[in-house]
Amino acid sequence: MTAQATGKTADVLIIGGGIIGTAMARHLSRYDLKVVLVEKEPDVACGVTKGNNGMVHAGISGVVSNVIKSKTPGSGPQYGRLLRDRLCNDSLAVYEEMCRELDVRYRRIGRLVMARNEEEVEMLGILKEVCEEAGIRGLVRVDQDGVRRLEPNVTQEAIAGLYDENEAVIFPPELTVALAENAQANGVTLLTNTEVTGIARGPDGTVNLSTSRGPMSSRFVVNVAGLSVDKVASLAGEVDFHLTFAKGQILILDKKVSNLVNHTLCFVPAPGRVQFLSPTADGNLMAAGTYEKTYDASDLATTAEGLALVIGKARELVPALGPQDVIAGFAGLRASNTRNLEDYIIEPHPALPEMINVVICPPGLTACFGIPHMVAGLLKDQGLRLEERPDFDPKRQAILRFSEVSMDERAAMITRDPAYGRIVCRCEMVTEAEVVEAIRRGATTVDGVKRRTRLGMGRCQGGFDTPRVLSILARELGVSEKEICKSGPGSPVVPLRAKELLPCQG
Amino acid sequence: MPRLADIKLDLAVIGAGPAGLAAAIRAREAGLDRVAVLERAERPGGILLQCIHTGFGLQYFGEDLTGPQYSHRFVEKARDLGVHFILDSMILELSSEKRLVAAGREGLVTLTPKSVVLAMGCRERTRAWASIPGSRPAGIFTAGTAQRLMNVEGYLPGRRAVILGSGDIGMIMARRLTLEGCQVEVVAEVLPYPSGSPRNEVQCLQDFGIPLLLGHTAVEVHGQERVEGVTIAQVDGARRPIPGTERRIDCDTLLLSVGLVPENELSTMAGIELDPLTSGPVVDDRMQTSLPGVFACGNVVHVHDLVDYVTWAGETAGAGAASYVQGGEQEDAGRIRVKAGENIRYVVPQSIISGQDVSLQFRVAAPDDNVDIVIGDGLLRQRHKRVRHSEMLTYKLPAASIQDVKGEIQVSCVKRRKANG
Repeated sequence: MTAQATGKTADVLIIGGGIIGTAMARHLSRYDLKVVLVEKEPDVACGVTKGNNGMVHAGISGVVSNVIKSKTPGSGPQYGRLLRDRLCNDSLAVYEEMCRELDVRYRRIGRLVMARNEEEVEMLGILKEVCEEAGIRGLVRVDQDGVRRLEPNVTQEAIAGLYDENEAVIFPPELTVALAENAQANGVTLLTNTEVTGIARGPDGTVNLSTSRGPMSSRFVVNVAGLSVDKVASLAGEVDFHLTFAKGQILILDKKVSNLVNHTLCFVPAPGRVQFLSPTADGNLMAAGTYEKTYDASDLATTAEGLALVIGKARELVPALGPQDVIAGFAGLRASNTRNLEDYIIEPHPALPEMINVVICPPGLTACFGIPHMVAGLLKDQGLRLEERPDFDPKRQAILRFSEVSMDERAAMITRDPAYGRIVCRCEMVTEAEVVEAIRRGATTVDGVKRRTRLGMGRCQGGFDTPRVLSILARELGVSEKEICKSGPGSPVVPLRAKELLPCQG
Repeated sequence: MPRLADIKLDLAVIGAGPAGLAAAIRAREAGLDRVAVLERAERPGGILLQCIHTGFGLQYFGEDLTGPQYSHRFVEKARDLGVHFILDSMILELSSEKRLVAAGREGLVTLTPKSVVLAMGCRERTRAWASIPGSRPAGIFTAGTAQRLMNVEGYLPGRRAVILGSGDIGMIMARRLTLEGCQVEVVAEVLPYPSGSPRNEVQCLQDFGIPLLLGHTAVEVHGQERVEGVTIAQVDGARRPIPGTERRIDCDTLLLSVGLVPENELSTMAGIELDPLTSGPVVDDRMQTSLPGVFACGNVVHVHDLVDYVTWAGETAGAGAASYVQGGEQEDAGRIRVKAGENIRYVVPQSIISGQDVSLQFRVAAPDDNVDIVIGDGLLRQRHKRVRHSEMLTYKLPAASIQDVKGEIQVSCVKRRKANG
């Protein structure tokens, strides 16, 4: 992971280690190409991927925004017209299989859309029709009893529902890490802490890039810089779009209330109604969200109003939930572009066609296996030869989770490696062996360990594990605890030794 | 050496903090042969090991000891008595048949002791509980985690701190940070009165000139990578921030001392009944839980303010476990329910069955002046000039006074009538 940039020219340099960037890298690793992935943060999945809610819009929710616009089927924009819809569909066709290859949890949880009055019941019918027109199968209308059978704890106000068996959820950083690991195993060079500051065509026709790690060159570039995609694009020349952002606040609830909800729950779609309640891939409940316009790509602050709104809306769905069940709150950003509000832009850069700009909007996670195919096609059009490597290995194995195996397997694991017998994070039952393995696979920060192992994601939120994980990180990386950061550089957890601030240091 | 799994234990104590140590010692003294204490840390002593300040043992020993000194006495005594320590081991499972599975470096150990003492202590409430909005940078710690980082690991959490919550750990950390050369800008407390003890308010804050802002809370955390500031605001009677009173304080560290919660994941796993008022197991006056042969003591039952009381509770639980093992299950005849009445947050134990002298421990729900603590129907009535929610009250009821009580004893804190002065 910390390999130095080589003097050799890459075939493709990918800018951005989010879910799309790592999926791009993994896709290109099938071919006989020298691929470099650069990421400005110390780890993959640090940007928009980290704040994503993890919903794979395999059913109703992928069609929903079109439905709102077209009150009746047949009028308004049709599902499938947009590039976004096409790439989501391509991606969904292989999503579950890809997750299996990469040993990533894909939880098909299903969604229940509920109606509280006759008008909403009518909307359920429209929704079903439109979704079926869009090719979605497995939709079932349920009456009040049906709603209660599926979800015994939902509000009494729900009088009918539409059940969609397709909806799924993943943990986005888990998939991103898996894609990066598999890409690296197939020869991709991942350079973290590498920020691109300049892009220009060199005299020999290759693209020269200035980076915080020094100059690099590549025949082709893929700009998947997520929240910075417009800024990176403008390094190579003017573009006719920039990004706007909408913040969404999300609450994670204690696992002790997980049994209250079985599927993703929401009321019938309506303009501005973005709230839902859902199990997560890890078995917590997640309450989302808000939709707050912001111009600042770094604005991930939660607000009192936002958090109150989210829990309030969750209570409208399941009244037994309350603020006391919240164990963490965070915010993520949705990006959209000013040229094409509802759709992606995926095209060669107007001033530098060797660079493909990939500008996406929600749902983006859903399309992560579709976008790379299209981009590879565009690169081919630009003259890149795509020759399959015979030795490409699509398989990747997840870090074995002590908490998820039987007692017999646990006993065997400890015999194999006594570090499995040391529980570092008690709430999520993460062992020292798993932390060491996460570091071996590239985690250099507390958050890096966290997103690979679930350490610190339980109800005590790191209170117990923080001192332990700091000392393991320091030991494994061969540095002082003082140098261990929570996330980016400048986020040391314990910046000073004891006594360091006292005047009489001998 | 016999394998651990083959040892037929009389008693397994979960947790080697002050509660567990006292329980193990008393059980050995009462004649139980095979007593083991399971502890997830590498050394026994529990949270006391990071409490390097004094103030421990004034009641129990009549001496002013540090946390490590206090725990050391019990660890030594337990070792002398042949208590078996299983360290660096975490219990993964506790069943309703008292079967324990523990993970340690040597492997998984399954134990089926005749009795169990739960002494897992408590954990700190987090940022989510205090619902503090804002960014999520490095530099936000619960006070106890910061205490461990400083006193055990030897690192400072930062240079300039704001402390939210005036719990005892928060105030002790305010002093500790100051002694280390850090700047403590303010201790903010959402309640109109301090949460910790008056002694700590004087010795940890006032003596060091650290401002305590009552009726204030944190409304936003600033900073992308590391904390850069915290905005605090005054709150109204319903603890809602009052618009216009916000004030940003630059700092690189935010410590949270916003309360402790008994840690009862294992109790829940075993199906043991919990009291919603304490978040700990419901216990009788021998500290037996709803599961016969399983006892509980210390902060896992309710959060204590003095370790001395934790030790006494541990001794009661250890004696209870010994008598359970030696005498088998006891009749549940004549059980008296103990209830929290007016302005009482909770009472422990929740029932009395032993027929011996019993100590009731409780806290008031809100501080008040000129009140009477009233126990039962004429059992006890005592005047208090002032009661604080931060102070655990203990009253001993002699066996004779309760032998005829049927049904229920209620504990209340009632305002004194002014009429007769």
